[in-house]
Formats: sequence, structure tokens, C-alpha cells
Amino acid sequence: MAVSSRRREVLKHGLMGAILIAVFFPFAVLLINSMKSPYQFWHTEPWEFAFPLHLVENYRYGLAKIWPALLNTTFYSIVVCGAVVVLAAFSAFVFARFRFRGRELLFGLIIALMMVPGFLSLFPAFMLNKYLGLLDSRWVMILPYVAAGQVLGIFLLRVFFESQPAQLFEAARIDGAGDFQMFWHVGVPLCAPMMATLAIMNALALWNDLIWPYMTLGDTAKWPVALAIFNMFQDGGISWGTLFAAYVLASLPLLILFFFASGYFVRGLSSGALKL
Amino acid sequence: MQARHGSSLLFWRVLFPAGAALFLAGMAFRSEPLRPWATPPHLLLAAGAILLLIWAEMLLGKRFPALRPYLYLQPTFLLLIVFCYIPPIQALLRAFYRWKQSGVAEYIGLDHFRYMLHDTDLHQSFINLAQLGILQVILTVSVPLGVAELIFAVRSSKARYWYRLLLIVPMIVPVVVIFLIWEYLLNYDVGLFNRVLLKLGMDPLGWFKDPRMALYCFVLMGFPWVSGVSVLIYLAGLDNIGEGVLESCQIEGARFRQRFLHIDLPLLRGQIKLLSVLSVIGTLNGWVAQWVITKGGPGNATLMPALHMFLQGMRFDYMGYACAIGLVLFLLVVGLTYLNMKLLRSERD
Repeated sequence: MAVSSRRREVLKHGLMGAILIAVFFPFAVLLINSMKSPYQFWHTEPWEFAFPLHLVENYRYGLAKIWPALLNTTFYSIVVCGAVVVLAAFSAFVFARFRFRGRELLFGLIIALMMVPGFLSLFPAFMLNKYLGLLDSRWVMILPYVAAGQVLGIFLLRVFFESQPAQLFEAARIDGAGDFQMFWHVGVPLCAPMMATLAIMNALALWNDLIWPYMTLGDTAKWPVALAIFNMFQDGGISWGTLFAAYVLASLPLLILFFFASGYFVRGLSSGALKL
Repeated sequence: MQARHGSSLLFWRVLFPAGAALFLAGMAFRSEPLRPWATPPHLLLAAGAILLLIWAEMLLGKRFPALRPYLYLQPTFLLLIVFCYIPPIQALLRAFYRWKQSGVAEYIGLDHFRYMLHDTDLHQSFINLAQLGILQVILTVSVPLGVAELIFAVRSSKARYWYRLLLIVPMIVPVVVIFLIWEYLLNYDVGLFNRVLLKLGMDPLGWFKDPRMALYCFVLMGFPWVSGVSVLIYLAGLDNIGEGVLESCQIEGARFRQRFLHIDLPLLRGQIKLLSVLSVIGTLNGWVAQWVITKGGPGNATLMPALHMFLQGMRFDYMGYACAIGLVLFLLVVGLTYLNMKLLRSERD
């Protein structure tokens, strides 16, 4: 009994290992080939290492290609996540802690936006940004994302605020705190983990979006990294090794963040799945 | 747990400030610095007007406390109205107009919808969508269930934690990178798959270039179809089943197959429904892969309705027609979401 159950346990781990290998083999191939010179790329098999490694050249050149785009995306994510989190938390706080006429109606109006798929508003949003004079400026990567991020943020944070004991807020009220003080000194510390989760969800969405910057940003100096990578691929004229190095570098920042804040990612991804 | 807390402290105290400092330094010294003052003047005017308005409203809020919540919600609603309400509503209206990127709009009634009946590309795109959707739903619902059962059956809780975490990692990689990796793997000339075939002495396959195969390559791209989020959803469901039920299973001597068929499957019905609807909607929304890799080709073999819409608006400047296709797709999504809600509600009762 004991022996067979241990054998079964080993079998499970082996199966899981096989699945993980299947999941990660594209990335392994990517890493291996990102260290090859053009000659090595053509004359060795894709699954074997080629020596000498051309690690430094490829990565240095790849980084030079996408460095401005990486900075741009980082800038956009920091601004968007900060704005979304603060605004959404404040509105959610208002929805949860104030009683006013039409509260549920207004909340319902926000929730209804979750049903609107992205492709429907693509062209009208493009024309709107054109009329507002935002095309080709950095605002086009900030304002629409801040607006869109509110929807799920308000929904999640309202539920959270309502689950917190009201006494906490009443105590602050009795101590003479104003609405903003109450939000800042009681509400924000309470929901900080939720805010981090929300920030990561928004950062992921922004990091992944390709179509919107493709439509609205003509100026290469303002491109986010997804578009820069895609453009490198389309233009051609770059060796595969360098291209792959650029892919790896584009994925690295979020992976590093994941390493330190994996819990928030797990929570963010699972609550993000409920959005359409 | 302790170790993870320690690493997050390291992150917030050391790495995050260091990264922020580096980032700001990079911004300051790069060739094209950020210039907030270079924004168009009318935007600055608008920002100034908004600030003035806020000031006036604060006075108002002091006089009439009952108005405060409305005043507080204004910034959010201002953003939402401009960027989230106006575009979709305009899309619904512009479906009945001939609309160009120059801004010219001309009312043409139902012409777009009449044209849709003769648009063979659109018909083909719906056939493609249906094929892709069916395969996608079957694979993305069943495979993660199997993997979740496997992880759930592993005895060591540390191993369970790590497996879950590792399955999440691919979701952090930008999707564009994943599309482009698969573009390479299935490339006709240099791709890994064809190199393996050659090594085995077989003829290379066309993959994305072969009209008969191209659509299925997009299913293959999901290999091994283990989406981390779906596994997490299933695992949460399995955790909810409860120790008692599982223990009594063990005492009764139920084999795994019996437990799976008679306990897990009925109790996970909600998750299965949720994931199948989400995966249908995901297929409807997922057209960027096709745009990045094949642009709908060869011919229209991998065209998706939403991709067709995007190309009509972007490449041919038929934005009104694009909005009309968007309207039809939207109705489809609403129908599916309604179904989703209904199924979920019946599950909760």
C-alpha cells in the first residue's frame, strides 16, 4: 500500500512535470535562439545551444531597439495604475459609505459598461480622440485607460469597502475627520492590497494592448513596448537572435514584478477573468 | 509565507525606489524627454477650467452637504461619459451611416446590414469563428479540469502551491510575444516544427501558409491549453467541495473515476459553465492573434468577424460598415452574456 501510493505520487509529479515542460518549451526555444548569431541560427538546430554564445551582442542590440518603448510603457503603466487606483477607490468609497438618491442606478450604469466589448467602440473612440486632439500624444495612452479601468475597479472595491466594519469609519468621523481624511487615513490603508491587485490588472491590460496604440500613435518615440516589438517583427532586416532577445527583454519587467508580487498577480488574474 | 512577505518588503523598500529612480533618470536624459507643457493649448485650458470648477464645487459642497456624493463622483463620471459611454453609443448610431475617417457621415439606413448578406468574407469569418470556437471551448474547458484534478491530487501542499504559481507565469508574458513566438515555431522556412519534421525525414508542412491548416494552427497555438486562470477557477471549486465529502469518499473506498464522475463533475458544473461561456466570448473577442500573424489570410481562411470589422474600418476606411459589424457582434456577445448570467444565477439558487 505504502509503496504503491508513493509510486502514484511520483507518477503525479512526473505528469505535472511533463505538462510544465509543454507549457514552457516555447519560452525555452526563445531563450536558446536569442543567443545565436545569424550564422548559428541557420546552421544549428533550434533546440540546441550554439557556442560561442552571442548573448551580449544580441541583448545589447535588442535593448537599444526597445529601450525607449520600455520606458514609455513603464511610464504609461505607472500613471494609469496610479490614477485608476486612486479614482476608483474614492468612487467606490463614496458608493459604499454614502447614502444618496440614485446610488444603485449610477452604480448599475457603471457595471453595465462591463458588457461592452472592446471592438465595438474601437472606431468611435478613435474618432473621438481625433476630435479631442489627443492623437499622437501620450494622453491617448493614459486617459482612455484610466476611464476604462474604473469600471472593474469600482465594482471590486465597493464590494470590499462594504465588507469592512462601519465602526472604523464612524470612529474617524467622531474624531472629526472630513470625507477626504476619512478616505485617505481609513479607507486607503484598508484597501491597499486590493488596490495593488487592481493596479496589476490594469498594468497587464496596458502592457498587452497592441491595437489601440497601433491606431492612435504614429510617432515611434511614444510607442509602447508591444507595438515596438510588433514593428520590429514586421519590418524585418533584424537577425532572429536579436529579435528574440528583444522579445525576452519585453517580457522581463513584468516577470520581475511577478517574482516579488505573485500573490497580487494570482488574485488580479482570477478576478480579471470575470470581466469580459 | 514569511519568506514571501520578506521578499515583498525587499521589493517595496529597495527595488521599487531604485527602479523608480532609474526610470526617472532615464526619462530625464533620453533624447526625447517628456514635455507635459507641450500638450495642445486647448487641453491646458480644459484642465484649468476643470480645476476652477472643482474649486467652485467645494464651496457648493460646504453649503449643501447632501450634494457631496454627487460632487465626489463627478471626476469618474466625466471620464466614463467621454471615454466609455460616448464611443459605444456612437458606434450603435454610426452603423446606419456611411462614415469616413475624414469625419464625413451620411445616413444610409439599413444598407450596411443588407450588404452584410452578400459579404462572403463575413460569412466565411463566422464559419471560421464557429470552428475555432468549438475547438477552443472543448480544449480550454476540459484540459484545465484534468490539470486541476492532478494538482489537487498531489499530496504536498508546497508542490501544489508551486504548480499553481508556475502555470500563471505564461500569462504574465505579453500576448504579442506569445503570438510572435508561435509565428516562429510554425514558420515554414525556419520554424521549429518544420525542422523537427525534416529531421524525422518528413516533408515540411505549410502551417499558417496552408489555407486548410492555418485556422487550426491558431488552436495549436494554445498548446497545451492549460490556462492558469482556468486551473485556478477549477481548483477553487475543488477546494469548496469540502473535506468531509472527500473523506467519506475515501472511507467508502470510492475509486478516483467514481469520485470524479459522481462528485466532482456535478459539483463543478458552475465552473464548467462559466469557463465555457468565457471561452466562447474570449474567442469572439480574440482576433489580435490573427491580425498579428496572418492578417486573416491566406485568402480568408483565418478571418474572424472582429478582424474583418477592423480591416474594413482601418484598411478600407469603411468605418460605418465596421460599426455595423460591431453591432451584430455586440448583440451576439450580449446574448451570450445573458445566457451566462442566467446559468450562473440558476447555479447559485
